[in-house]
Amino acid sequence: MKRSTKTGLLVGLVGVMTGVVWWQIPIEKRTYGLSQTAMTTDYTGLMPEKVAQINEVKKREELVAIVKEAQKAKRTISIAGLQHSQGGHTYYKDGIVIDMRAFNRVLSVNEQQKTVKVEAGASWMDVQEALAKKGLALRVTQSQSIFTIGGSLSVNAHGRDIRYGSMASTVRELTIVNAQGEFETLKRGRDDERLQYILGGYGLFGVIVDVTLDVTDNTVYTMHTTEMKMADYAPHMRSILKDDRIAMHYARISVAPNSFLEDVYTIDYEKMEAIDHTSPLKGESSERLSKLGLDLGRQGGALENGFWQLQRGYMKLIDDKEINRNDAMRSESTFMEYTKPGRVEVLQEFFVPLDEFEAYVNELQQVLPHDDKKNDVKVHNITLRYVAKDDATALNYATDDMMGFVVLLQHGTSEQSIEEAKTLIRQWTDVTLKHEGTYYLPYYPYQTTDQFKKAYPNAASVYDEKQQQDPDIIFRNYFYDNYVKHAND
Amino acid sequence: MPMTKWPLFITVGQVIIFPYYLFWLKNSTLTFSLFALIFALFSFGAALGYHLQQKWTMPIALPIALLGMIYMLTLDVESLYIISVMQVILGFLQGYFRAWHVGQETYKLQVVWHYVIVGLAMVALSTVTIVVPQIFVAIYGFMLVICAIVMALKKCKKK
Repeated sequence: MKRSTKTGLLVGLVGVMTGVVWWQIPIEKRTYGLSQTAMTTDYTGLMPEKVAQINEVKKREELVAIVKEAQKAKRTISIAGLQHSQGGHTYYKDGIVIDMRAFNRVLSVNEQQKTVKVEAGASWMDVQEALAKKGLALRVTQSQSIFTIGGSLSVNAHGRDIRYGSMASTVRELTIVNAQGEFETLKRGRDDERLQYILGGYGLFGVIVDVTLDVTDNTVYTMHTTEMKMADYAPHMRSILKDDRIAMHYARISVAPNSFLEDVYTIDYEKMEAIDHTSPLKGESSERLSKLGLDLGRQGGALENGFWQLQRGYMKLIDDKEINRNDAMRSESTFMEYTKPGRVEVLQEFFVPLDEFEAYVNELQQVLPHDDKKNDVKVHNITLRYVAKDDATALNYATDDMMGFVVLLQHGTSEQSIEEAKTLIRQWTDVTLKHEGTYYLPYYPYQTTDQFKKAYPNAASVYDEKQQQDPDIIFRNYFYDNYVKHAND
Repeated sequence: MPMTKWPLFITVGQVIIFPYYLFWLKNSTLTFSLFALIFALFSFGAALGYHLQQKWTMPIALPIALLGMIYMLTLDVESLYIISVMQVILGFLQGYFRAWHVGQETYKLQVVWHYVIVGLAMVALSTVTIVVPQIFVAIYGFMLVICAIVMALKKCKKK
C-alpha cells in the first residue's frame, strides 16, 4: 500500500471513529435499578441499598405466594416497576422487591364502554399501542409514556389534560393483593374509601394487580403556542378553562438569567372534529440534536439564555400544527438523560392555587438565584401544568384547582451538594406552603417531616389506615420511613 | 539524568499511569460501550502517530510536553466531546513517541528494564490507595512537561 494511501486511511479511520463516538454520546444511558448482587437504586441512584430478594412476577398467583411468604418470614415487600420515582419508593433494605415489569399484558379494550383493562407492570407505551388501533386514548397520563401503570397510579400522576382531573379519577376498577395476601377488587363509587389510600398510596397498601381505566377518543388537536409575560399567565389559564374547545395545556416559564421567571410560553391543544383511528404512534426523533441543545442549556448563564431562545423558536415552529391525543401524551424522553458523572438531575413539583400564581412567582423571584451558572444547585427547567381539584386520594396534592410547577434541577452527588440542594428546596417548599400550596411526593426526601405534615394534613389518617390494614408493615419503602411513619409524631 | 535515560522514564511512567488514566476515563463515561469506543479512538490515533513519525519528525521534547499537558487536562475536563478529542491526541502522541523510541539505539536494552521497573512500581502502588486517579495522572503529566523542558534546554546547550 502506498504511504500516502495508508496515511489517508488512518486519518479517515480516526475521523469516522470520532464521528461514531460523538453520535453515541447524546444517547448514553445511566445504569440504575434492581440488583441482587450489587446495590439497588431508583432513577437518581442517590439512595443505594442492598435488598434481600428480587422476585420477577408473571402470574397473579405468584403475588399471593410472595406476600404470604413475606408474612411468615417477617420480611418487608416493596413494589418496583420502571423505578422512575426518586426517593426509595420501590425498595427497602434487606427486603423483598417485587419486580412487576413482566406483568405487563393489556387484558382488554372495550370500545363501547371506552375502557381498558391492563396489568400493573405494563407501561403507558403498551397501553397506547393497544388504544391507538381502536381510535382511543388515555384520559390522564404523564407527558411521557415511559412509566408503568402501577407506578403512575401509586403516585397519582397528572399530565397535560385539563378536563379529567388527576389519574386516580379515571380508575373504574382495581384489583390488588392486600397485606393479608388476598385478592380484592375495588370499584369506583362502591369502594372509594379504600381506593383513596391505594391510589397515590406509594405502594404501602397492597400490590396493584390490574386496573380498568376510563379512556376517551384519540381526538385530533391543533396546537396554539403563545408567548406572554408571567403576569398574563393566570388570566390566560382562566380563559382557556372557560373554553371547552381547549382540552390540554402546558407552559414553560423561563429560568434563563435574562428573563428569569418573567417570560412564559404556553401550548394549548384545541379540539378538532376528527378522531384519529389510523396514525401509528410517533416515535422518538432528533434526540441527539435535542440532547446537545439541552446539555448546552444545562451549563447555565449565557448558554441557558441561548437555550431559552431556541425553545421559543421551536414553539413558533409547532404553532398551528395538528397532533392526536395519544401523540400529545408521549413526548420524547431519551434526550433528557443527564449523563454527567458525579452529578444528578432530579425533579421537584410544587402546586399552588391558580389565584396565588402571580404572588407566588413574585416571591420565588426573591428567593431563587436568577443566574445559577456558578452554583452547585442549578434549576434547569420549569414547566407549568394545571391540575384540577382532586378528592380521590388521601395524600392529595391538588387540594384546590392548582398550578403545578414541574422543576428539573441538578446538583452534585456529594453529601455537601445534597445538603445545599436540601436547603434550596426546603426554602422553596416554605414559600409554596405560605401560598397554600403543596409539593409532590415521588421524589428524593429533601423536605422535612414538618413540611410534609403541613402540605398533607391527611397524613395522620394515612398512617392510621396503614396500621389498620397492614399492622406488620409488610409493604414498606423509604417513603414510609422518611415521612408516613412520622405523620403522628 | 543522561539524555539516553529519559525515554525509559517516560515509557515506565506511561505504563504505571495508564491504569489510573483508565479509571478516570471509565468514570467519565457511563456505559462500557462508550468507554470502549473512546478507547478505540486512542488506538487509531496511536496507529496514525506511529505511522506519521516515520514520515515527519519534530523535536521529541514537543510530543512529550504535549503528552504531559493532556494528562494534566484530566483534572478539569468533564465534557465527553473534549475527552474523545483528548483520546485521539493522546493516542497520536503515544504512537509517535513509541515510533521514535523504537528507533533509538538503547531501545532493546531499555525494554527489559522497562518491564522490571513497571512490575516493581505496580507492586509498590498496590499498597497505596489513590482516591482521585486524575490527581495522580496530572502529577505525572506535570513531570512530563518539566522533563520535556529540561530535554529541550539540554539540547539547546549541546548545540
